[in-house]
Amino acid sequence: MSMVFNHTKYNGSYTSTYVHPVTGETVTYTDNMLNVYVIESFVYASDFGTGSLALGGGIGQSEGGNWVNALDFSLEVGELARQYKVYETYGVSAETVENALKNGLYVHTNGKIYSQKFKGNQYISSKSVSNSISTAKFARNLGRGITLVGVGISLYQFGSSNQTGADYARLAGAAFITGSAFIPVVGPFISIGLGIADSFGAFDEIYNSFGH
Amino acid sequence: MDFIYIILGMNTLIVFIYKRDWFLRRKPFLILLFVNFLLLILGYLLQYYSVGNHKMVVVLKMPMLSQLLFIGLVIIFRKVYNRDPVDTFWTMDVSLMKDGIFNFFFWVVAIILPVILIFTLLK
Repeated sequence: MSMVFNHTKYNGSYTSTYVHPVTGETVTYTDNMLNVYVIESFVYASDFGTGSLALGGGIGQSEGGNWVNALDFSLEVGELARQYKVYETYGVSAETVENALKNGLYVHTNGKIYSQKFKGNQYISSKSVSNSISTAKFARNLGRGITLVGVGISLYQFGSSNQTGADYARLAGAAFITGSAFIPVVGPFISIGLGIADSFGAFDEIYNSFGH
Repeated sequence: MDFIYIILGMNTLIVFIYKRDWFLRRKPFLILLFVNFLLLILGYLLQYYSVGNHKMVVVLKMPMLSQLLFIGLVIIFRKVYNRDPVDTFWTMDVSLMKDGIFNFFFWVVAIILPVILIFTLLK
């Protein structure tokens, strides 16, 4: 948070009088101040960071920064929750589930991998097969959707901003953080880690150093 | 309405992340290129006639630039590795590192470069 003040400087002394609310005793004292600043007006401004996750984040110094930060952070948490839920449902990572879909297979909720042509048998109901596939597809699309929502927020915030150097830097930061989810192995962790840090405004100083 | 512009402006990224094979086949690629060309024209028209938020309508110029950038990078990738880059979103397969770097590079450049162009040179 920052404030921009318009003030007038006065020299001299400043006298205050206080009345005690219970005893009614009056106290007067004078401060001799070399410089007294009278604030005539001020402009309130909010700084907010980007966010991202495999996500993206808030850009710019425009109004509405709080909801952007909150949404960015929610998206980060949402992605973590998605990863956890997939692991809880299938007993394998989200990546394994997505890879299986990509190769015409699917992970059943029993943790085993089957061909998508397999429709069930006396031990595995056809309903559980269709549920496993549809849940996996939903989880896959949700993860990618979260990334796109983050980038969309970043672009929206950039468009709403004054397109200063700091705004460009924030957009670049969001693109870098979301894009890192494409780098195998380390990328998703970088993306989540930097995304959460960014949603708390950890890189604001760096962004702002590019100028307002 | 601003979010509609953003979604339309991001269509290249949406296709890249969900249906990237559309970019790698001639017919869908050309259809998308045509659609994105129309969006480019629409962006200029809306801007010229001051329809909508002038800061947002310029985003409609973005997808065509991103798409051309993608095919340019794919041509380079094909020449170097003799194959198409594959999807690496959230993958843990280290053998796809080259594809991952390609996708990362495209993602960052496809966002930054068009934005710089449409908010400065093509404004």
